[in-house]
Amino acid sequence: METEKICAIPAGMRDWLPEEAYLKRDITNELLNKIALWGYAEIMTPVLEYYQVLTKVEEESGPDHLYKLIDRDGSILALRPEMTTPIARIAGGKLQGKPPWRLMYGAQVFRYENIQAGRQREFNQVGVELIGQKGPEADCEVLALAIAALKSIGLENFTVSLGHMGVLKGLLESLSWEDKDLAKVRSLVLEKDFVGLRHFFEKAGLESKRQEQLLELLTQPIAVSDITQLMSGLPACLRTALAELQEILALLDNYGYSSYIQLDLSTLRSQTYYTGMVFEIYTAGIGYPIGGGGRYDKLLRRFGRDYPATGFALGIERLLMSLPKKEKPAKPVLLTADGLGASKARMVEEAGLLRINGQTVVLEFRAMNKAQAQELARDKNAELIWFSEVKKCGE
Amino acid sequence: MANKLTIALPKGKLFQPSIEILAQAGLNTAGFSDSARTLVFEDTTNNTRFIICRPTDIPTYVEHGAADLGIVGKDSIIEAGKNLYELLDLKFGFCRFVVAAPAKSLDAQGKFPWKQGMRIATKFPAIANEYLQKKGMQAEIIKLHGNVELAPRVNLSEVIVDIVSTGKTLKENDLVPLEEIGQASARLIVNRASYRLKAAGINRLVTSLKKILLEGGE
Repeated sequence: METEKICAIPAGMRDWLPEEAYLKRDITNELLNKIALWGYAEIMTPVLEYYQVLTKVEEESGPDHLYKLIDRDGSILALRPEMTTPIARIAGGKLQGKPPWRLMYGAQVFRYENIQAGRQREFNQVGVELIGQKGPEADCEVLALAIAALKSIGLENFTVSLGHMGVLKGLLESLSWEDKDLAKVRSLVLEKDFVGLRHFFEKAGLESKRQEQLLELLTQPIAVSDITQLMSGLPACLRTALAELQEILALLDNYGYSSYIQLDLSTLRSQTYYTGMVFEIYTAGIGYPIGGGGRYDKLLRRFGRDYPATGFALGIERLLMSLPKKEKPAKPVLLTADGLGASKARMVEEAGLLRINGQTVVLEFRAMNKAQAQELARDKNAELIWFSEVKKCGE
Repeated sequence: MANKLTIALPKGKLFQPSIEILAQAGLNTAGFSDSARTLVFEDTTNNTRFIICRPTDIPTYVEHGAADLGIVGKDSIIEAGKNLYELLDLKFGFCRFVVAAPAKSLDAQGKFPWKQGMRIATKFPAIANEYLQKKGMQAEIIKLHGNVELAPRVNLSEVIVDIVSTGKTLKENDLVPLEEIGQASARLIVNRASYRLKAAGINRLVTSLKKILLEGGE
């Protein structure tokens, strides 16, 4: 039993072997470099946090998806399930200077949930938080940045499904039901179980005209030009939400990114802390969003400073699945010698020169005859430079 | 290719009504069969491909985007526990989930003497488990792949949780339904990404199916 486990890893974890790890590192760096060009500074937080910190943000206490452990002093710790909350904690005390702050991260997060397509229980996210700025300008910036970042790594065929928390909130308020039922409606909309939603409305005795109206609003595709017309028949709270989306989209037009956006008023995120616009990003062939985000204006106040904020996160593993195959790392050079007098100093010098020019060089001091050197080069997929005596011989 | 829709159709009793409603919605399903060896059919005029699969596999095909849409019973959706969008109740393939026990096990008042630690045989462990949770009972769930009605007769279990459309099978095996724990019918499910990326084609189909259901239902 024990010996079997020595080579195994826990369910939901995975190893990244050299070529895979290279691609993952490469895409993460590319995204972070792109995002940094928009004035975002990287931030890092511990993988372990206090359980209370991570659960401070969720309104209802249901079963959580945290990996938990007990510290030696008895306090409960958990692995971070996302980065927004740790960054909110930092914004609550440690950030210097005045808002707005533009922060980015590339980090691994952990969720104890069913293993999904392209997502293990440990996965990597690259994301941003724009803290301390209200209004459609900030939301537009975050949306545009998400789109620009995805385009920069070569993804073209994707759609950003954009909604607003105010829509569902307005709908729920207009129902004036008990909280328990509202929570049920919320979870049905989140799961896009429109059949279940209809049944629930029927059971609750909602008149059929109202049912149709609500389902229509949540399921019908909406063109941007329809918003104004759509608003006329709706309660004030919904109108405000729609007007905000309209403003964000008008600003986004300046980037020429409108074609990536699809209005979908049933868009919701599983985290309950979102308050304004929310979005999810989809690409062909993966049944789950590759990223998402939104505005969360009430999260930071729980950590002591009342700043509005907006942001997004992209799932690196899912992006790796959806990107066209990228080229592998450049071929390394294998530099070796037969040991019959070739000067080691001469080899070091040669390797140094090549490395200055960005060439990867594997320097093998141990003596090899030509056949051995050739075989090693083949196995490691490298170009061979083999020294015999003092002369340098190419392959 | 980009906008081609792939629809997964279930083998078995939902197959015929599925292709009928799709034909009404204007798709060319002539010559489709779930008993032929062919598992893939094309409707080139409507730029649609059909794949024919086992009902229990349909949630998997749709979840991974191998099919954009699927028609499948609610029972398979619940049991699969996948994250899928359920767009329409297609109003055929109605059946009920029931808890049933042998008639002779009922007491004089016609009640079933529930005891903690009983055994429940079922094809639907997730549904049986949810039922037990709700009732606050403990029981051992025994997963079978078919002919669940056999289990009480050979003393594999005291009760069963099964899906029932007419109730004939239960009667023939001297089983009586104790409680109905849910209903199921055929649903149109969609892959989360396709729902966005192929919105136009999917909405067109959904709109015409809705119209058919409304006219048929009144």
